[in-house]
Amino acid sequence: MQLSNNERKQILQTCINNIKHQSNLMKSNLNDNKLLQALKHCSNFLNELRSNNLTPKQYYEIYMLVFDSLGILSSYLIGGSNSKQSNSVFLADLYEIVQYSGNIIPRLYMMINIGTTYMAIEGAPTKDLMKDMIEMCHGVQHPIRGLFLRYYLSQRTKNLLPFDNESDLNDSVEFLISNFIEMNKLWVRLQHQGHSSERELRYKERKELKILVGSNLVRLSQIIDDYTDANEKFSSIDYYKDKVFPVITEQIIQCKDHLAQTYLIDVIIQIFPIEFQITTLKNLLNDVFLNLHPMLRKSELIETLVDKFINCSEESVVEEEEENELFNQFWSFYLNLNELDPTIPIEEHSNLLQSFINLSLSFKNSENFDNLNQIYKHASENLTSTSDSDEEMWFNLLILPINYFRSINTLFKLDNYYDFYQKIQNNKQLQKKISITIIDKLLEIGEPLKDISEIDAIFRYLLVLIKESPSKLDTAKNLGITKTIKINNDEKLITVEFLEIQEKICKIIQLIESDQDDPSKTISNLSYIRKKYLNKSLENIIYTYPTLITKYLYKSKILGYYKPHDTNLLVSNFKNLSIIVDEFYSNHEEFSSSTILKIYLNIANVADQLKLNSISYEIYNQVFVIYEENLKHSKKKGFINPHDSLSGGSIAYESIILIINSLIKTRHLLKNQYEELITKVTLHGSKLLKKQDQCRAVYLCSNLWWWNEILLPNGEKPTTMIEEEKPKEDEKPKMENTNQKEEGESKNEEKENNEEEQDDHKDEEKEKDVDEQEEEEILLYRDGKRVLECLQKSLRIADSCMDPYLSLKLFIEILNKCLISSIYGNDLIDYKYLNGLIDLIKTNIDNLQDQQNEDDEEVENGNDNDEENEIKETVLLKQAIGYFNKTLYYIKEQKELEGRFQNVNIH
Amino acid sequence: MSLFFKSSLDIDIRLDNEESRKHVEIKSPQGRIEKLPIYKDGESVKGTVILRTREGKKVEHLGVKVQLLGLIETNIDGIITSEFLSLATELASPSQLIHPETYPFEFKNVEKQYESYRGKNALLKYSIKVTVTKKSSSEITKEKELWVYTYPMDTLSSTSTTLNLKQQEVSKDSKQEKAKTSGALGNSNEADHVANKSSTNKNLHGVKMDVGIEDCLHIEFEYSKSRFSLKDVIIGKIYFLLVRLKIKHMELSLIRRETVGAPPNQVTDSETVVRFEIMDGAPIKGETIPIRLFLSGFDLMPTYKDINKKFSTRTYLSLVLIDEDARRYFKQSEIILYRDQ
Repeated sequence: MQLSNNERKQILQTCINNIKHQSNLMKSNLNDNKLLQALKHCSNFLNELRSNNLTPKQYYEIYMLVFDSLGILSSYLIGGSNSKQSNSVFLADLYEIVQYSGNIIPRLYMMINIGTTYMAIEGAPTKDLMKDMIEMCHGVQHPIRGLFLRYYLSQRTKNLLPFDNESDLNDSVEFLISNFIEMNKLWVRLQHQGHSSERELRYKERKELKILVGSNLVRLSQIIDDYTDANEKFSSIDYYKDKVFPVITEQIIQCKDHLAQTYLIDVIIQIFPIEFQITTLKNLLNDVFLNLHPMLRKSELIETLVDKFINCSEESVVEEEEENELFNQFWSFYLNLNELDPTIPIEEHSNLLQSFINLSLSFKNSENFDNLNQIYKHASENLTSTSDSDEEMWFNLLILPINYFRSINTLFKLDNYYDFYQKIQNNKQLQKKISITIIDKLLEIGEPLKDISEIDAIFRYLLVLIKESPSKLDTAKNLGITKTIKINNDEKLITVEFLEIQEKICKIIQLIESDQDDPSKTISNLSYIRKKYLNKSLENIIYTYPTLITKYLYKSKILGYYKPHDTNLLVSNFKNLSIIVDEFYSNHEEFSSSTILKIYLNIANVADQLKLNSISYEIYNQVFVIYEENLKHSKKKGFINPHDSLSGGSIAYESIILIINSLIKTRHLLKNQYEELITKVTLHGSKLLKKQDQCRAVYLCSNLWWWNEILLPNGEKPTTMIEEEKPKEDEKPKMENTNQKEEGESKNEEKENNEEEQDDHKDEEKEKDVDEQEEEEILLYRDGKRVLECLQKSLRIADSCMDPYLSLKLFIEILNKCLISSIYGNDLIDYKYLNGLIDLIKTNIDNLQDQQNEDDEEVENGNDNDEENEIKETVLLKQAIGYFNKTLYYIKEQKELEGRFQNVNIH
Repeated sequence: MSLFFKSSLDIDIRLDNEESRKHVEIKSPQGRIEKLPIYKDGESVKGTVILRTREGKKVEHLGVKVQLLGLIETNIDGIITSEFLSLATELASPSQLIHPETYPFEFKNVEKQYESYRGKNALLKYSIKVTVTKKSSSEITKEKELWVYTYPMDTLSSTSTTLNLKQQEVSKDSKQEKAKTSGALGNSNEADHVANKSSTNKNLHGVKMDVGIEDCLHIEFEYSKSRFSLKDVIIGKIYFLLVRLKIKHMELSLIRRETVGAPPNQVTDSETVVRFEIMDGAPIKGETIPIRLFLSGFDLMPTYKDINKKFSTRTYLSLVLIDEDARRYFKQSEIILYRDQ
């Protein structure tokens, strides 16, 4: 008969009302000292516990009510009698009287209530009562009613069980174990009550009742504990091992019930101290666990057990030397389990192994990886995955130890870790996650990678990241979560995550660091990772090569300082480096030329610093190849303000500037090499698309022709002029003479050559006029004529600008450049030249001001179409005037402070 | 004896130490509670008889005697009384009574073979009867009932040897079911298809029985003994060896059965005196259920076995299993009850 919830509730309410009513009647009878009548009412409310129609929860509700009401009776009985002796007799009689009750449930509850009241009295036949009560409880075989009855017995005897001596303890333990066994039987039996369709319901109900059964074990643990506290000589461990453990585990095995086994083993692990667990571990694993229900997930129990060991690991219950033994016990259990049941699900394997890994990781001997190796060896040899979810479980196994890595050595010692890692190679995402975790850990450790074995140990895990293709990334999946950024002219969408990973790889590259005194070793390691790992995905070298090259270059530089005379070694290093850059360039020339250009310039500078002029010369040539192939015609990027000389310009313009800046730092190229290079860059500069770019590039190139000692590092002696010195010794005096002659001529020449200058350049290069200064033995490359030529050229370009304001701006910029040249000692830029330039600027300003005034009048006449332009132009003019005034002020300052520019007219 | 005629003589029977003697409270057939003094077998019955005349009248009589009578009354087809004990003593020879006269009497060490009994169709009683004989051939009598307890010296007795576990039909449904399963046996009575595995193992110390229904139930039960004093406790155990029934609970009952007369004119009356639940819920194979029943608190009487070939009143211990469909399975066995000092 199935009852609805509402019906049940009604029944429950009726039960509650009856219990309360009868309980009140009992109380008033007790107040009148009418004990027999009170017992009658007591029996009445106890009858409610005979109900068949309540859920376990509801039954518990009325049980609690009954429990309290019985407590009232009990306290009446204790307080009721005067002398101990008469009370004892009285209670003994009462214990018999209540046994006349016709129904077993009320009878037993009253027996237990009175029996335990009796037990509390000194001199009571405690043990007889215990035996009698527990024996009579057998009469209740109904699972729920039996469980509650025995729970009542357990609750009532809680603080009354004797433990004055070992015999007492034995009896009390026996009592508790016996109650436990019977309760467990009832609890298991509950599963089989009712219709088989209610199995799930029964299972749920049983779960709700589990604590009733477990309470016996808790009590058992407490009483052993109490006894141990009171008896120093008592060996609780042996007692547990011999008297308690075998009996309770026997019951747990015999009951063959999934839920009971799961819960009770868990309770045993939780409530008995770790010392007990160690003693019985072997038995627990091999005699108990292996004999549990075949469908039972041993892994959960193992996890609980292992967690217990881990949590107690700080209490040093397991000594370091015993750790392996502990592990071996678990491990042999695992092997036995495998043998016993070869069909254990993958998940179970995974969970078990996870527990074992956790256990090994908790050991004090953190450098011992034998156990982990054993696990991974077994896993890689024996586990086969059949689905993706399996691989996720493998992932869990792999991710566990990483956080415990304390050094790179860890990865070495874990030989079998990689084999197992390779098992999930079909699932790159998982492999990546593991690899990233490893990287993060290594970066956190920050230990350098010293040799190839270490590099291999780590980079094999990075390979999956190195090979990762950014274009295959599923950006849609991350839509709205992940920002995407664009690089290379919209060619690819790359997630921030991908870039972060690549960044991490670069950080690892930075960790490659061998012996500080032998950079060549590091260099060869860098070459090694390139060949073996980084170029496995040419697509991605764009992210890693810059780091690799920079690191390589840096190490080469150090090497150069260590071995300045081993030119062959150095040269071959640079050749190798050049191969790397070449590879980079050949794969990414289209979009990464700017980067490569910068890299080449760096290399060229370093080579120059190491006085490897042939190398740096060749590299500069390579730079021009790149420029011509890929940068010369690059589209402009975004909006460029032509008036602003500092905000950059087209890529081509910027490249030229970069080259200029690099060349200006060289000091050891052969003179003819240097001249060839600076001529080339000046020519490229003059051929830029925009007038302002041409103009600025050319006036900046002027610097290349006139070195200044200020730009030299301290103590550095340039060799460009020295090496040229010997073959051209005869020319030297001439040159000095010509310098002074040319001063006067320069202006005329400038105007004459205006149109043809560009064409003439190449020819003129061969007729070098070298300005040489030998102060402090430093030889500087100086060619004032060329400087003048450059400035003249830029003036002409500025003049040819259609925009008068831009022209004006450029004029002032050139004036500034001329002032600097003059200060640096180029006599060709004399006061006449400067005055001419200043006049030119003034004239331009006047013209523009006049023009603006005319425009203003037009505005007043009502023609306001061009209002905005006029305002903008006014601003531009104002800016130009401001700039010009500042320049003049500078000249004035220089006049006063340094005595320069004396003949320059600034008014 | 007619009460309509005013008796000219009052007879008063007084027993020695009557006030201090133990009494039994017993329900009369009319439902009143009577208090009767208790005598044992072999105990002397001693007392005095006082005769008083009314209003100072002179009464002549032909003699006074006192009798101790034991008789059994049975009711099968009408009441039949038979005397099994009659002792008489002459208290006074014929004379005249004016003043109250007191006569002591004593029946020494009287054997009172049977215990007093009041049942449904039988009773056994003892009484003191005083008879005053008068000239007119009429008599004036007065009776006073005694209650007798016997305490048997010999505690050995036999138990019934034929014990069957029977199944009682409760509903029509289950009867039909029975018919199906009984097959060729047709309309055989219920006991037929209950295999009797019983093997009574009787000894001085206990009773052990092994009963069951083929492939359905197999239990073994054990009582500490088969003879119990009225103050005794029945202690036993029940082992469940095979349980395929859905048992709901189990009771122990004590049934008192009175049989009067001899077959074929025999009248039997059964009454369940005690009903005592000993198990709640269904046990599984291997369970042992304890039995403990205190007897002293119940209204029990000793076993009357074939008293004077007139009647017997026996007590049976019945173990009843009730299944979820309210079918009852039971097993009865007689226990001998006796009165103990």
